[in-house]
Amino acid sequence: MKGSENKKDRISSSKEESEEEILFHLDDSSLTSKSFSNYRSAMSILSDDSDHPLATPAETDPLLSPPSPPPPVKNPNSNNDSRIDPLTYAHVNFMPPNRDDQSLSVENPSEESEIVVPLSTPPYLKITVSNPHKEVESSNSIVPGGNTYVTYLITTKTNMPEFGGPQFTVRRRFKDVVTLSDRLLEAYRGFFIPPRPEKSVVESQVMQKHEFVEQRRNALEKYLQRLAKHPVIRQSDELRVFLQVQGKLPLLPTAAVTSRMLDGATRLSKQLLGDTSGGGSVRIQPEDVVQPAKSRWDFLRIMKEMNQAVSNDWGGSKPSIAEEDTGFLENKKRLLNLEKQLTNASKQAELFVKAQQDMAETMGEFGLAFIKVTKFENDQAVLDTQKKRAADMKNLATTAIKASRLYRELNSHTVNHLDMLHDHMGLLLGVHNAFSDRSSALLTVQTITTELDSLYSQAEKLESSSSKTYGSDKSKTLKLGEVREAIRVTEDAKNSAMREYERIKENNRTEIDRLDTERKADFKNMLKGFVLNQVAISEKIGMEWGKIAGETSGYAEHGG
Amino acid sequence: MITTQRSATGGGGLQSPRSPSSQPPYLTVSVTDPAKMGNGVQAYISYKVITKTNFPDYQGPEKIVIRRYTDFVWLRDRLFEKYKGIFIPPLPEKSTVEKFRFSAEFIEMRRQALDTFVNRIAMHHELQQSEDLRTFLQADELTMERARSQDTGIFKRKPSDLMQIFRDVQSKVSDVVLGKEKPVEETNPEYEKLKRYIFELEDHLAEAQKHAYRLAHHLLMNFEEPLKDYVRAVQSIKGTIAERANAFRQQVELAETIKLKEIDLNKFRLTRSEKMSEAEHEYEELKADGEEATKRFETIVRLMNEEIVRFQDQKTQDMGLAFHEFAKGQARLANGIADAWRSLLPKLEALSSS
Repeated sequence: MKGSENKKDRISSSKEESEEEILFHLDDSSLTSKSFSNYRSAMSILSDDSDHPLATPAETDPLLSPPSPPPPVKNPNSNNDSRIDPLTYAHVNFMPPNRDDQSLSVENPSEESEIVVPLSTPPYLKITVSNPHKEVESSNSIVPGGNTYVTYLITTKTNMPEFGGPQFTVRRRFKDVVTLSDRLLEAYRGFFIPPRPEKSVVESQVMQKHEFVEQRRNALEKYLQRLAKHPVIRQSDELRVFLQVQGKLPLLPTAAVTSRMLDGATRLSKQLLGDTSGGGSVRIQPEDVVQPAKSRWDFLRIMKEMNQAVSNDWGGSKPSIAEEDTGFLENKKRLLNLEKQLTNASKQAELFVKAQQDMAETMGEFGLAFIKVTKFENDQAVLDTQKKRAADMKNLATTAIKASRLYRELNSHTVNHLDMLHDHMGLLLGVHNAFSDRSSALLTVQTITTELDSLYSQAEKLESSSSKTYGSDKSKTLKLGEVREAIRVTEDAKNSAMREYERIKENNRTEIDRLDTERKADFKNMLKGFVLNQVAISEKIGMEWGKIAGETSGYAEHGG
Repeated sequence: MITTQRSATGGGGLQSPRSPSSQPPYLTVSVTDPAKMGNGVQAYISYKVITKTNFPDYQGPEKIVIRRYTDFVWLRDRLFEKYKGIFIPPLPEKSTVEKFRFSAEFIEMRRQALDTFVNRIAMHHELQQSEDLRTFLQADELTMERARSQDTGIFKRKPSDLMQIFRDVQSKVSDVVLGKEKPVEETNPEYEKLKRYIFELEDHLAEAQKHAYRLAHHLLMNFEEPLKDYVRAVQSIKGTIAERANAFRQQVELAETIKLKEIDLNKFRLTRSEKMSEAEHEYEELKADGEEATKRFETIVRLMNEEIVRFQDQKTQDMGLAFHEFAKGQARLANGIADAWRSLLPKLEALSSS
């Protein structure tokens, strides 16, 4: 894969520039630009790579074609055995937090077996996305060259019995993911479903092809892992089918395209318009009302609901059924507030990461400048003192470069940890969806209720006037029968809609609790990991400088 | 502050309980107590210069005078003129803009640089014997001001220097006329190497200094100052290189003039012209000048050779110290950061229960 090969080159060449070798591999002209673009690209790739668990052997799974080389992050760990305690502690948390369900059970990143685990252990579902391939759309189009698209290899490892296997792969394209997402949103109204990656048409044009593909691959992996993390979604048929069924994805883009719904929609809209003049009993399927009025066939229903919404807001009377759950309203307010706070925190995090990046760069450039001077002095040395000074300078410069690398390492972990903020901000989008599922379900109930009310009053009118007029009895009786029938069906629909509404409310409730618990745990891990990284790396940096300070302490004795 | 431990006349800064006469000679200077004087555009900073010494010509054991930046400049200029061949320690830059702001940082850095300046002079076995140094360290303010105003401005040049300037112009013109535009230069390969080294060094250091400047903004660690000092020292050496080139050129030109004069003289001898005695007289004078010029040049060469060794020695020491301080500061900073973050951990643990 082109992407990872590039990574390999860059990372190994930055490895090459270890302290001793720097002096011999330098030539002044290419110095600053080359080594720094190496650093920068290695590090930017590292931060994209942030989801690969950094130290797990599972990364070398042969199913994932070319295994990416262990990131340079590992090197300082293997070098420095002297300070065991902070390092091993910190090493544990170097793992990107909560990326898979392993974190639910144990903080033990290095033990990830590839064999199926006995069922008594907690369920886990690990999904990775890799290996993008270009494929050609085999359509019978006149246009030569056809339509190309990219597929990704989706690898799943699990011990959940529904899947009937510990490990399997499938190839999917982005369109399939959109389908999966749409179906989940329809089937799991009221749940906080993580939002899928965006289609981003503009970006796909603007960015370099392989960069865009890599970005998308990363986003897809994150999305699927978040789905796998959700206790309800992970057991959904939709997800299972997506992950397992070979060949074309057997999920239709949206439930509304089934022929049943096509008819159902027209029937429903007729019914809602109160159009019973055509004769013939038109039956609403009560299931029809449990779908939101989204598809374009539903536009009549949408109109009805819009009218209802307007009358809710502007009309004189309040609807009989309204949102009364104060607990819910409080939670809603709280979550909206949380969103603001997270946005703020995210901005601060961005500034912080940038500052750390600056620090790393400045320190590195400082070190390299001194390497240059060292080389110069060494070349030109006539006296021994010059050679000694050159040696001192080299040590200083080397330490500065080590420090710079450590800062970069710290930064890539920081990005990793703070990414959890973004995860939860994304989840809050899911929350918005779930809450609007609730309000639209409520709106449907209200609309049907209004409808029902008007049917009741129609029936009343017909009943009270039936005895007055002579001769039109028969047609009136007929009409009354139709209205009563309509009432019956609509009452069924209302019950359906009410059940749906209650179901969504319940989902909301459990989800709020689940999310709050999850967020607390996630953020605590995030902070802990972040702080531990800061401690570990700062200690390392302090140690490096301390070493040099010790080595040069002789100079201090001479002077003041 | 820095004592004369390495001066060629020996002696540490220790004050033994023996009688002053048997004590090794010492000369210690410190520049302290910057104080703002004057107002507005004419404001300046004055410094207390404290000299502790047992040198015979000095008013010992301690003398305090008040000096300002231009006094230091005067001293540097005088030494530069008198001690050709020696690398005069550099001064911090004269800043016309920053001066107005007079930030505490700026003042302190300048004070330190001035302190280092005077001490380096006091430590140098030749320079410490300078009369101008004594004036600087001992004279009362009035005398100092007079001396300073005498030697500043275009009237700085003495008459003999003016003549030299004319001669320089003359020779340049004649060079152009005669078609030899090339300046006269030594052809000493070692010296060539040294010159190239000095010029390149300045460039390298300037770049390193640029990065140190950025680092200083991040870490509030002043590594920039030692580098600036290094750069200034190198620039001072360039001044000496120029002086050496001057001396060399003078010597060469005089030698040529002498040769021409000899030819003239022989002509006059042959023709028994009445101009002969005058010419003889001039010839003898020129020869004396020539010898002097040669001596001057050779002194510069000898001094420079010694100076290079001393310079390299000193620079290794200076930089070593700077590295040490920098590394110490960095270590302290990093450990402080680690401690600060570590203190958060128990609080985070406590969160689990809430």
